[in-house]
Amino acid sequence: MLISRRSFFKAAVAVATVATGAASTGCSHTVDTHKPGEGPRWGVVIDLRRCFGCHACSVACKAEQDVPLGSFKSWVAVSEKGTYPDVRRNFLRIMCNQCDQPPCVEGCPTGATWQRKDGIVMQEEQTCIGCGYCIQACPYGVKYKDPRTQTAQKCDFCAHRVDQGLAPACINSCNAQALVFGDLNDPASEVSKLIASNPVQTLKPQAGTGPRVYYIGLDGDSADPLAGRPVVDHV
Amino acid sequence: MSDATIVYTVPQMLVWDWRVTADLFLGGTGVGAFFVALYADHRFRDRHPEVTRLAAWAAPLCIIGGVILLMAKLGHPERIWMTVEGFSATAPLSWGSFFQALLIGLALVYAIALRGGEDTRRTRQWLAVASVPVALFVGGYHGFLLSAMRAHALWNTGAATVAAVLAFVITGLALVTLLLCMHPRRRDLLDGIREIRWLLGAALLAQIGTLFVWWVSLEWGLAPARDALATANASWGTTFWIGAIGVGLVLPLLLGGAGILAERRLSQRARVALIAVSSLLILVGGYMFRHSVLMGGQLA
Repeated sequence: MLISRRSFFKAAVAVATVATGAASTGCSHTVDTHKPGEGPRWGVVIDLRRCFGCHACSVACKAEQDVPLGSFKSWVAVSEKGTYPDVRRNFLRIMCNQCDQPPCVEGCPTGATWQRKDGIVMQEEQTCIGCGYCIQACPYGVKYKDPRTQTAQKCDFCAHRVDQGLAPACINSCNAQALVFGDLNDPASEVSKLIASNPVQTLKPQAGTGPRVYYIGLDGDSADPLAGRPVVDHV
Repeated sequence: MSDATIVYTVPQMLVWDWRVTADLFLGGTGVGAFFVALYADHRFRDRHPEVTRLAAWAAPLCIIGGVILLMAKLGHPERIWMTVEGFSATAPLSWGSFFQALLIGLALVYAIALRGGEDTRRTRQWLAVASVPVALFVGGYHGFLLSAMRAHALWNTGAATVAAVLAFVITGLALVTLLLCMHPRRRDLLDGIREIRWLLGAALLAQIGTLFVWWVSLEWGLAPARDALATANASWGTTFWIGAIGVGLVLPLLLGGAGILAERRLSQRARVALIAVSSLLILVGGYMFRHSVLMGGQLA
């Protein structure tokens, strides 16, 4: 006996439900980061009023993280505004925002990009298949594909240093003390005090990612981390 | 637009290239061909079994071809099994890998089952039941993969998924039609599947409408959407407007319309040639559509 149309649709819905249910027993790699009192939640405050664009932080990052030529885990974008004689240069330090809702973690199909409880978003080289989805998913353009390992890479707040009680390399290297690192869950920390006592902004708040890099003195016209970036093909 | 001029910043790397386009294109075409196989098995099984056979084998071969090219783009294709171990419910790629692999299996079994003729008809019907939702998901997934990206305003619209679904219908129908044009019994077959050609025409019109809505939603959208459209247009506008729209949609519609109007005056050979050329243009345009959207979207 041939199957009727009604049976066909009923069975199709059943199959779809079973397949979806089977697939969704897989986990998600997003985690709930520490709430106040549960543990640290790391963040950075960048006081752009102090930054004068020396790039010491960029160099320190390159050296500490062994970032290959042509790739960048963090950098300082420079922009100019106004016309002579009323010209001003703005500096914007760009690094991974270690988002509260990281789209790179949500989109990773293998769990190579994952988030610690302290909020740091980690990148595992050994489990990355190099699909590039996380790089595409990042609204800030702070991930890249390492040409040596063919895996995605990003700033991780120098987690290896943080775990030993040290600050990230960029923080230590800043000549102007424009970069402050600390525990956002500790109201007595320097970052918490700065956020409480200054108007702070984040990059692309409309993306809904909950970034934890805060800026003081951010110029709205210079706030797009993707603006003006020349495009190169990655081999 | 910003009043600031960027003096220094770092380059942005394009991560995805033609191989990802090929996966989206071949995967979508394979899904479309699979639906043609299911439809032909239901409608033309007795009169033109060749249609079902051609479409049924074209489907998994296309999808497999796309997957092979995609894996060639991966940094570590040998670790692909980690998508199973590390399956993430929030990752479109996890879902896509799972359902795409499932569809390849189902499509291959379906194609092999066709050899049994009437003996395997009931089996094929149950295979169709299992395959339809999977194929629909895979077809939509190829668009949803991009639509889900908040980071890229050009992609982050519902129209991207709708356009991808229509694209798989269009290129799947076009591929099967082109293959039929090369069959020894092509004249009978093409006359016999006339309704599929009408469906193709309707899908082409629907796609033009969808792309228009997509363009409007960007052009009249918020600043990030407008900027994304302008950036993509600057580099990939020609490929999109002339290749995807002109070559892939408008020209085939015009040729199809001309063919219908001049049907009585055209020889059988000329009609077949017209259909073949239209189908080829649709496939070329379909690829250009995928490529211009993929590459243009990465820029903004």
